This record gives sequence, C-alpha cells and structure tokens, in this order.
Amino acid sequence: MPVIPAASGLVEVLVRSCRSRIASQQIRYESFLAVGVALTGVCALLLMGTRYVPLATLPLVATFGVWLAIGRWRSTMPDEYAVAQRIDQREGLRDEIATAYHFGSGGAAYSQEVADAQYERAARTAAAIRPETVFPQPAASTRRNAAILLFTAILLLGLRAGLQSTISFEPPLATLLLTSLFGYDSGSSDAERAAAAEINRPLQEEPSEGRERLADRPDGESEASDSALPEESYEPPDESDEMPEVEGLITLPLEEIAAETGSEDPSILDAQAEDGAASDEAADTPQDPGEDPWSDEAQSLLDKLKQAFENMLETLDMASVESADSEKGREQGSGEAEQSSAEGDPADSGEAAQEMSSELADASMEGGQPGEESGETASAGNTSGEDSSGQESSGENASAAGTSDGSKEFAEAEQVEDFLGSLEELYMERAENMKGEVTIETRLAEQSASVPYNERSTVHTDLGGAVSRDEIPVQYRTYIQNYFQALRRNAE
Amino acid sequence: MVETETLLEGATEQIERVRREIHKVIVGHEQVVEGVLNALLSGGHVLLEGVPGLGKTTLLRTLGQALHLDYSRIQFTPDLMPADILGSMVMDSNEVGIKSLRFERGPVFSHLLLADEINRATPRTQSALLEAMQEKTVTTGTTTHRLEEPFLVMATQNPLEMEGTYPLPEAQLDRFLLKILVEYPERHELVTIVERTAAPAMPPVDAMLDRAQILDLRAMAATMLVAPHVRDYAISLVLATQPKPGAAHALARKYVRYGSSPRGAQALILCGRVRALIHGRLNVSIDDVRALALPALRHRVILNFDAHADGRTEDDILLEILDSLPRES
Repeated sequence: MPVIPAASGLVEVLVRSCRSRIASQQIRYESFLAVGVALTGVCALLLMGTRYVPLATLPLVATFGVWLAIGRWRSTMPDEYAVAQRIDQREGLRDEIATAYHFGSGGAAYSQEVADAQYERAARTAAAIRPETVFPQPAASTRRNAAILLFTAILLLGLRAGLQSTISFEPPLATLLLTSLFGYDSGSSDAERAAAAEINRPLQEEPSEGRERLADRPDGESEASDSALPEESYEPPDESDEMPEVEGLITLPLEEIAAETGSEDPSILDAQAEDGAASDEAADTPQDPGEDPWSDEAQSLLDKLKQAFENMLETLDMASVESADSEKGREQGSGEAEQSSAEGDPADSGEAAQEMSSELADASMEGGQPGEESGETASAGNTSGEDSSGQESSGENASAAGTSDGSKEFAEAEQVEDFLGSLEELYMERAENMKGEVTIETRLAEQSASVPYNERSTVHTDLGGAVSRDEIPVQYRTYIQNYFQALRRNAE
Repeated sequence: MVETETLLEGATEQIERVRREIHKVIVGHEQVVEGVLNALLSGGHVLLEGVPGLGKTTLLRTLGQALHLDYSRIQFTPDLMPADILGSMVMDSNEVGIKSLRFERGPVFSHLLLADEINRATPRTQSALLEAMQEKTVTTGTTTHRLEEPFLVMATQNPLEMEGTYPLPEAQLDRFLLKILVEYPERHELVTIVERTAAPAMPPVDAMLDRAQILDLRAMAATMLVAPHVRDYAISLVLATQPKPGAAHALARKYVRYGSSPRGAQALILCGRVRALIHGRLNVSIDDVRALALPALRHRVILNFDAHADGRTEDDILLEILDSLPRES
C-alpha cells in the first residue's frame, strides 16, 4: 500500500474538482432559468400584445431573470466542505473525505497522528475517485423548460403572422383570434363591434364577388337580362321624403316613376346611375371603425327598411301564384332596392330605398301590373353599367340578411321573455324566504321563564380509597394519582 | 501514521476476539453484543430490556468471563436495601477486643456489576446506584470511596408492563449510556441455542482483555475524529427530540414530555467514536450517529399521555425524526 503524505493535497484536489463541476452545472441550470424567464416575458408579450405588455418590460423581465439566476447560484453553490460531504454521501465513504478535508485544512484534532492517518486513508480513496462519476452533468431540467418556452414563443409568433398581413404586436392575440374567426373584437367598444359585425356580414363583404359571379354567367343570359332592362327605368330616391309604412309592394316601370317625379329626361337616370356607382365605390372603400359611420339614426332607419322589406317579401309570397316571371322580377327589384341601401353611404342609400319602396307601393295601389312591370323595374337598375350587375347579386344577399336579422329579433324577444320569467321566479322565491322582525302587541303583564333543573354537583365519594401502584399499568400511574389528588383537593 | 494504523488494526482485532468469545455462548444478538462492548469502551453503563429468558443475564455473565475484570452480580428484589448494594458499616473488634465500625464494601465495588432485574427493586434502592454510576464513587457517612476503573453497570430489566416491576427514575435512566432492547431470536438462532444448551457442557470462555488493555482501548477510542458536520448532526438530533420551540420536530412537540438531555448528545459522540474503532475506522460518520440514535436516546425521551394513548413508542418517534433530519449541514 503506497504511503501518501498528508501534504499531498489529493483530497483538496478532488474536492475542488468536484466543486468546479457543480459550479458549471449550476451555471448551466441557472442560465437556462434566466433564458426561461426572458422567454416567459416574450410569450406574455406575444399573447397580450404591446397594448397590455409594453415593449419596455422585456428588458426588465430579462434583467429579473439574470438577477434571479445569479441570486440562486450564489445561494445554492456549496462550499468545499459541503462538497466533500456530498462526495462521501454519493460514494458511501462514511464521511471519510469530509473529515480528512476538515482536519487536513487546519481542524484541531485530539491526536494529530490519527488525523494524519485518516487523511492518508482519504487520500488513497480520493485518488481512486473520478469527479466525472461522482458528479455527472445531466441535462439541466431548466433547459427543457426553456425549450418549451422557446417553442411556445415561436408558435405564438407564427400564429400572429398567420392572422395578420403585416405583423403588429399591438393587439392581444385573443383579439386577433376572435376577430379573424368570429368577427368579434373583444378589445373595442360596442359601436366598433357592431361596425365590425356589419363589415363582416356577407352582404357587404362580397360586392366584388357578386360581380364576378355575374360576369361568370353565360353571355346569352347576361345579354338577355340586360336587354330586358330599359336603361331609363331607375329613379333615385329623394332624401327629404320620409319612409311610409309599406304594407305591400307593387313595382312600376321606371318610366312611370320618372313621369310622376316630373323628370322625363333620361339623363337624370344616367346621373342617378352615376350616383349609384359613386355609392358603390363608397361601399368598396374600407371603412375606418374609429369613425363610427353607423350612428343610431342610421341604424333605426336601417331597421325600418328591413321591416319594409320583410313586409314586401310577404306580399311577394302572396302574389307568387300569379306568375313566376313577375315574382322573379319583384325579387330582383327588391334586391336592387336593398342593394342601393347597402352600398355607399348607409343613411343616404337607406332613405333612397325607402322612397323607392313607397313610390312602388303607391303605384301598386293605383292598379298597375305588378308582374311584368316589376320585373322591368328591377332590371332597370342593371342598366347603369357594370356596377349594376354587382348590385343585383348583392341585393339577393341583402334580402337574406334582412330575414336573418328578423329571426334574431324573435330570438332576442324569446330570450327576454325567458329572462323575465326567471326574474319572476326569483322574486317569488325571495318573497317566500323573506325574513324580518315581527312585532306583536300584547298586554302588560308579569312574565317568567322557567329552565329545567339539572343536577350537576355529582361528587366522587370514595375519598379514602387507596390504589396500589402494582395494580395499574405504570404508564397510567401518574395520571391516576393526579386524578385522585384532584378529587381530594376538590373535596377539601 | 503507520503506527496509528497498526494500533487501530490491533485494537479492532482485540475487540473482535472478545466478540468471538461471547458468541461461543450467545447466539445471535450481534447488535446487543456490540452495544455492550461499546458501553464498556465508552465508559458508560448499559441497560438491557427484554422479557425473561432471552439471555440477557447470560450475555453479561459471559462478558464478565471474557474480560479479566472483577465481576459481581446483584439480583434485585423488592426488599433489597441500598446497603445491600453499596455496603454498610459493621462492628468489628481487634485482637484486644476494642470494637470499631468498619465499612464493608458491597458488590458495587467491582469492575463489572450485573444488576439483574433492576426494576424489581424499589426506587430507593435503585437510586443507590446513582452516585456510583455517574460519579464512580460511593459515599457512606462522611467517607467517599472511589470505584476503580473500568466500572460498568450492566443492568437488565423486564418490560414495565410485567407484574412486580417499578419504573426506573428518569435520573437513573439518563445515567445509562445505552438502552438496548433484546429481541426474540430468529428460528435458525433458536435451533443453535437449543443445540448448545442441550449439550453436556457449555464451551469454555477465555478472558481476552485485561483491565489495562481496556483502558488503552478507551484512550484510543477517544482520539477518533469527529468532523463538525457529524457533531452538528448529533446535536440537531438531540434538539429535535426536545418539545420546545425552535428545532423541535413536530412529533416531539406532540408526543414528547421530556426530550433528550445533553447526555444524549454526549452518548452519541462517545459511542460513535467506539463504533468507529470497532469497525476499523478513524473517523465518526453520520451513519454511526444514526445507528446509535435508538439505543442512546430511547430511554432519554419521555413520552406524554397522548403518545401512550395513540400507541406511539420512543422508537417510532425517533425513527421518524431520523428520517426527516437532513444529513447535509
């Protein structure tokens, strides 16, 4: 057995080598922790957007992560004596290394010879120990967490890029998701949400698509419909007229409408058609949700218009038995009218449609022929150029949207009814469980309360009894003795 | 250094020879035998507890035979008086007939004292050993007599639940360095016991250590190294048994009426040194402290009534404290 002198320092070399491995492992662990903290900040920013997480917080979060890592590293980094103890534990050395390290580095021992002998033993043991086996460096658990956070950050970034044409970190991701999936902007006001909902309705979203569909039609059909429509059959509505109550709808040729309004010059119709084109252009222009174009007044007018079209559709259903062609014409006419209200300035187009509907209703009351002429009237709107074809197809969509809104109102009414019913039940229930003070008037008289008598002063009478220690288990003797002493004290 | 190693190997071999001699008679009970030897070399006293018939008396008698030491035995009974243990003044007369009082030494004046069934004597008689065990002296009247080293009281007691037993006073319990429980032998051990006792004669036991050798071993055990973290572990263990705010364990606060005294920490370190010597090491380890925690502390922890009501024992509580105590300082 080779003799290793105490001054060889093998124990210290082993301890320092192991400590450096622990330090490097700790540094890696804490570094990944700091990266994880910083990535958490990035993920929060990508989730909440700069609207709630300002960009300036990112450096703060990263600084906090570094501070946390350094603080943890300094607090958890063991000293050399603790490292020696860990070596003993991991190698099952019965504190041989730690004892040798302590007494080899100046610890006072009863016998220095014994201390030297012990160090020699420990040095022999230390020479056979490899720090790599004692302290292997597994992958830090924080590395996995940092990788997960990095993946999450990339995923969120990709999600944002997919939801936006140009990446903006301002809105929260939830808002983007709601807007893109359901057309619902949770971060804006009610007016903005209503505007966004209107914008996302298929009626207004697809005017160009309607045009494309019309352009895709067979040429013969397009020409037939265009030829069937006289160019001078459209009268622009007067904005000053109020919308009358429409009980039925009978369409008239636009020539008669023009004659009634006193404008027989077809150029008026052309100018009106140009107005329609201008309103179409206005509809194509994207609206700024911050401007709030749907004021309450316009909204109420729109509701009235919807109601008028519903009545009109009911009338059309009743008149559908007369001829399929005239029904088709009425539908086209009503679609066109509603289309004109949907495109361009909403308020203006709504009033124009109301006036047109009222005039058509008046004409029907005068005994015009609703079937053919109404078809001509409807097709007259298409004579204003290429935009008119788009108006026709979007007019069908407008009718569908009006029907849908009507059913929404019914659903809301049903909900209100249910809610009121619930309120009623709630009030009734509360009325049943109502609590309060009750005052009863009685005559003045002496009153007495009686309480049942309970005998509580039971006394243990066996005061002179002696209990031998041998008769009871020893662990209970103290307590039994205290018990009898207490009895005697109480008796005295 | 080589000399130290040689001395250590020699000491370990001597202790091992004594163990082998004891195991000529005693079957099994390795921990019990090691505990008794540990108490002998630590300068303390040992209390063996177990039901009758497990070989407690035989073990201690065999130890007395394996050592070249004065050995005496006292059978404790309820009518045993202190003078029967310590000795008494007797009237003596010289050749000319002049009478005088002379102190007649009792059985306590020996190196090895076997106090058999110590808890059958009254507390008064039990307390007669207090001074002898702690101070290693006996005082009669105005005279104090010193007991010769090594002085080892080896006491046996039956479980307290048995008839005709008196509990040892806490002060005397604390003076025992170790309290070792003697368990029932295993089946194969019982077979060997039956075969040995059925033989016409027991194998002879040779004396392996004399008084000087024992004192040398004691001196050597005292030089075993105790690192600070091992010492701190022993102290933390003792503090954890004390039901006071601070380092007390939750179980100690709930079930312990009196925790271990500082003698408990002393016992852990003293016996740890001897255990390291017995196992051929030069340093005490935390494993030594843990191995000695039960015999060194179980009689120093006095449980309260809740512990008895819940069926908890000292060993249960100490084991749970050991499990929860961190090894690293």
